[in-house]
Amino acid sequence: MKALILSEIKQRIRGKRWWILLSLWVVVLAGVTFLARMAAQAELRSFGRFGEDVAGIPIGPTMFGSLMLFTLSLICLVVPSLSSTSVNSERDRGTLAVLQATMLRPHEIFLAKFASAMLVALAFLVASIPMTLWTMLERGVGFGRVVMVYVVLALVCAVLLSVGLATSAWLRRPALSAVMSYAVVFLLTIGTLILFGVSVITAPVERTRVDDEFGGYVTEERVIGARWVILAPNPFVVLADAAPRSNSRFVPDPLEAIRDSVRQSRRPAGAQVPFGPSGREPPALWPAGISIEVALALAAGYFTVGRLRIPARKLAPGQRVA
Amino acid sequence: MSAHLGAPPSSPPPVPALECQDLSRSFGATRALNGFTMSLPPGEVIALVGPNGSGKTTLLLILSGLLAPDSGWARIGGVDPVERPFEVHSFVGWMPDFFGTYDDLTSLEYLELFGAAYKMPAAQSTRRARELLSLVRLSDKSSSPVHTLSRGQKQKLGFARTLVHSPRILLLDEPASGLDPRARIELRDLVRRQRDEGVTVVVSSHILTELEEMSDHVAFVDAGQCRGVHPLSLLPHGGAARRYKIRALNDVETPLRAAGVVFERISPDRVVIETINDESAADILARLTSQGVRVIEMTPVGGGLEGAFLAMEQGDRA
Ligand SMILES: Nc1ncnc2c1ncn2[C@@H]1O[C@H](COP(=O)(O)OP(=O)(O)OP(=O)(O)O)[C@@H](O)[C@H]1O
Ligand SMILES: [Mg+2]
Repeated sequence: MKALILSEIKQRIRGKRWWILLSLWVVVLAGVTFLARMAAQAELRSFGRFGEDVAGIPIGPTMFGSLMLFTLSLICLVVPSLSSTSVNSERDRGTLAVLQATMLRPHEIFLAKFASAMLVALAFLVASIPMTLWTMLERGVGFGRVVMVYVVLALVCAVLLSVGLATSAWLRRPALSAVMSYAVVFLLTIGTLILFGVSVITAPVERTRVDDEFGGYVTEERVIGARWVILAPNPFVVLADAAPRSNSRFVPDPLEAIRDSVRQSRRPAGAQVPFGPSGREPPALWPAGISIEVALALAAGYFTVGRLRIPARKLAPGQRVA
Repeated sequence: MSAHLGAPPSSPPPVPALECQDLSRSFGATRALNGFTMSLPPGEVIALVGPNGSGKTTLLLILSGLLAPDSGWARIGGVDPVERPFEVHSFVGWMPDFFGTYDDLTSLEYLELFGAAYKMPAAQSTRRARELLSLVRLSDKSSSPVHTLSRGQKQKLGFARTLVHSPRILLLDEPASGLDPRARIELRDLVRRQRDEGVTVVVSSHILTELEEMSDHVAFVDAGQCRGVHPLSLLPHGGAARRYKIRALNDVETPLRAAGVVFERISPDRVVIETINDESAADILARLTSQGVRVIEMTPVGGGLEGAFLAMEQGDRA
């Protein structure tokens, strides 16, 4: 297993390309953090002009939130490519069948591929740590928050990798499976957003007549019900929703902004409360979101192992075992 | 011509190393195997001979536990490869007709990887890898990346890989493809050495003279069926349909026709005759020369195996 994982890693980080990608990754994230810092400082200055006492207000949350949202975007771009041609390109090159003919079990082949891709993905996450430390130096970002966010990021990587492996085990052509894995990313990110939007505007509207001394009026409220579940598996939603509140003042915290707005979808009917640091928050979406993502990853893994099982009964059209 | 080196004919029939009964497998509309039944003796080299697309590769895939048949069953070393593929892998080495290698590994690392895949401890797999590299004479390439090897060297490395776990049955699918004559002779010697150590070797190839020199038995495969397994020394057509090419400076066809010899015209001065045996070939030559035909060349065409192979194909067309 260890030998196989090492050989898989070697294949993924071969040559200059990998180092270029990694440096680019660091440069982009550092740039984003720097821009977020400038934006936060400008914001503070403008508050200062209106007489607010902004001295010593931490701007870490703005930087950290921007950095993490950007990291997640880049993960969505980079990580699927680590696994989405892993099985079928090995079939094409004729290296898979000889592995399957050894004592390696299908789940071991799956795990070796998964683990090696995961280690590479984690290397990208590790490369973002210096910027995270920078945001922590700017104060306002708790250690617990950082840990939680990184756990979610690693989890999203695992889900994307597992799904990528499944597409590569399913489709014979590497180009197709790569496209398919990005289609899944699209569905999880933008797709859930659109679907949720559509489901909300088509949700039934409940109208109630309220009588008062002026003759009464009608209140309208959309009954969203359980439609928030559509939004829950969105990686950005999970990330922002799972991050503890920073309760930052004067400077925006992108994670908190997303968290507050997505939790609106779980507002109990009739409750008009504006919530914030003081108000009672509606329940979180992320436990459901993470459960859905983990279920997706497990299903993808199960499917992949099934496709690696021998002796093969059905082959994809045009696929040869060797 | 190789002698039959298997068990002496007096010993009782041994338990078959390999047995299959009514194996069928289709790919879409193609019937790759169509009721394949065969039983092979242990400790010998068995050549799998058949035209392109006759199902040899498919058969070897089923025997190595990688492909499930639609119907029928197989036993290899007494184990069902469909039910217990991993047990089969523990004592079977399979070399596919086409395989790739991990380009970023060195030859040594490549073999070590497979040692690990056969669950060997690291030290043992390194030792075994070195041993195999010297066996196939690639020791000097042990630290070169696999992608720098030539095709023939890769083929040898692939052969070494099938031996990593010291299997007692080898399934080799066209192992000689891409090898130069010297490497072929080396391969032949390697295969014979395995046989001498008691390993059963099933080898498919299109290079019949090659197979003839290393096998004890030949199994004919055609249209997804087994057309018989024969000791090479007793080829059904081997002695019978001998073919000779004759080249003469003057007309050779008329005397041949007069003598009632079956022949085939290749070019004005070249014919291929078919005879029963070497005796009659000698007779024909004597007759031709006595009739004033100036024969300048008379050579046997193909070996016994090639003759048998062509006979099988012709029988098919008839
Ligand atoms: N995965 C597959 N999908 C579709 N058809 C296949 C597949 N594998 C084999 N076939 C078909 O089954 C038949 C037997 O193929 P097989 O590879 O077993 O032949 P072979 O005897 O090894 O031929 P060759 O001597 O050319 O190597 C062929 O007609 C081939 O096209
Ligand atoms: Mg073949």
